[in-house]
Amino acid sequence: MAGNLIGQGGLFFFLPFAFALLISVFTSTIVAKSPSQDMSADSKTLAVPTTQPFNNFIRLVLTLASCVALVLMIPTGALVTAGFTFNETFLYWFPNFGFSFLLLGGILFIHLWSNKLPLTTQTFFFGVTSICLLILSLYGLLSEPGNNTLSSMHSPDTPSPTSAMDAVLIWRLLVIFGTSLILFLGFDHISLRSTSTKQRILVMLTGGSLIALWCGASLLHVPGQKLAQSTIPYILGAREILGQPGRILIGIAIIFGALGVVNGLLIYTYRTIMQISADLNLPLKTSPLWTQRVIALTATPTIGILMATGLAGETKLETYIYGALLLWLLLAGTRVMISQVARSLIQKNAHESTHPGLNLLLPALYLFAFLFSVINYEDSKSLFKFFILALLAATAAAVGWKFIARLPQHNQITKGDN
Amino acid sequence: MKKLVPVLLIMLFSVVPVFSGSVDKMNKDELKSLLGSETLVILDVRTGRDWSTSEFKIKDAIRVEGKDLSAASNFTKDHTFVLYCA
Repeated sequence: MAGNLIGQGGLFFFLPFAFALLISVFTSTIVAKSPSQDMSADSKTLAVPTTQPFNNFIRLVLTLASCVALVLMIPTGALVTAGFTFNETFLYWFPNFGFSFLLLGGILFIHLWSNKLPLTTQTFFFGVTSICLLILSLYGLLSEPGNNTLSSMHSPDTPSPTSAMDAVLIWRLLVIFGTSLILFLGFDHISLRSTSTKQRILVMLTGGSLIALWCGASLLHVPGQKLAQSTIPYILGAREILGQPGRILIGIAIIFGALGVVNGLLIYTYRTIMQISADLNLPLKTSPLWTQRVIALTATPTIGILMATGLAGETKLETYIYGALLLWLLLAGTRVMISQVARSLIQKNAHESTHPGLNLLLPALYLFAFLFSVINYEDSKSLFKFFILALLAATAAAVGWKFIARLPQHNQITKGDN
Repeated sequence: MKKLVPVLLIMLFSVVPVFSGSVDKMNKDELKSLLGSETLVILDVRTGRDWSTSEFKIKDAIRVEGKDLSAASNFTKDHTFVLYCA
């Protein structure tokens, strides 16, 4: 996606990219300082916004819909891509699907083992991916483009900023980058509390800079038109920059990136479930480790079935992935709105000046991005079907959870074995 | 629980279905020997990510979208059709 967009937009690509990064940083800051989260951490410190402006049930449904959609769809695509990459880059004789299932099995093992192992391995997965991309980016930026390659920065067919990236693409970039950046670079409920604002912003800016460096290096070595039209712009870039070693490096980055994405989404789902359980007073009947295991034991076989039944071979997977990201965007907007409204109530009760228009600017932007992206999507019908299916499944899960939460506590599993 | 982990992993792998149809297959060397022939028609029938994330795309292969094989109707039965599916 990034490769295609930088190919289309040329250097102009960095403007919406910086905008998406800025929005992501603002969002994480607002949610991290959310009064409702402060309340759940220490109920004595703030006592004003006990009346939630949004129905808790709607928040629960949206959260579950977004989580389920993300944790099933993105890993299906990422693991299949990793399987093909391994087969085509490293071992031709090894079945691509076999490798995808091997990775999935590895992730399941990690999540069944202990609470700490997923976090430890996550650092390793992202570390390896980042190092590979950094080597490729720095080498690409410091080396001269090959003689047979036209740099799009100087080529006559460099796209003009006004025509190359239309509004749809700019908003799509915001959706994809905004959501993925804040999702994968530290925007989740629990770590936000334990991370300082400076640390969080530093992590997000570092991740954003790495992506920008990689995009810049690719643009320097591969003509923009080629990047825009290719289905594998990342491989084109790596191959042009470093040849066969470049292919190997990007192959490693794709495989470890896929592991990081699947592992990260399972961690994110676990944390979200734990947090919403505390926020909405919906006790879980299992210990934290067993909650993690139940999530992994539910999600990974489902991903396996989706892969085995050929979803990755269908174009609608891309629609579903896009739909999952849009649901998450809607959830992020809702959470920002809840935070802002709660803050306004506190300020109002403390007789401080409030800026309701300003407070609602970011949620309005999210809502606009959501609606604009849905309306302008080429297969809106499938997208709507996906939303309905995800929301129905989430509603059923929310009703089930509420029912189980009301059951007596004597069956609670409390023993964790890590 | 930790003793159960390997068992669960084996169960996960055992449910992976492997489908294999009874069609003639051609290896890359056989295809290479045919490349350049005027009667050769290569139809790339891979879809979704099977096609989009693959680095290997055969030059001059005709991309077939979904189940629409109408592109093949432009050729006679004398042609040799090779379907590239994985």
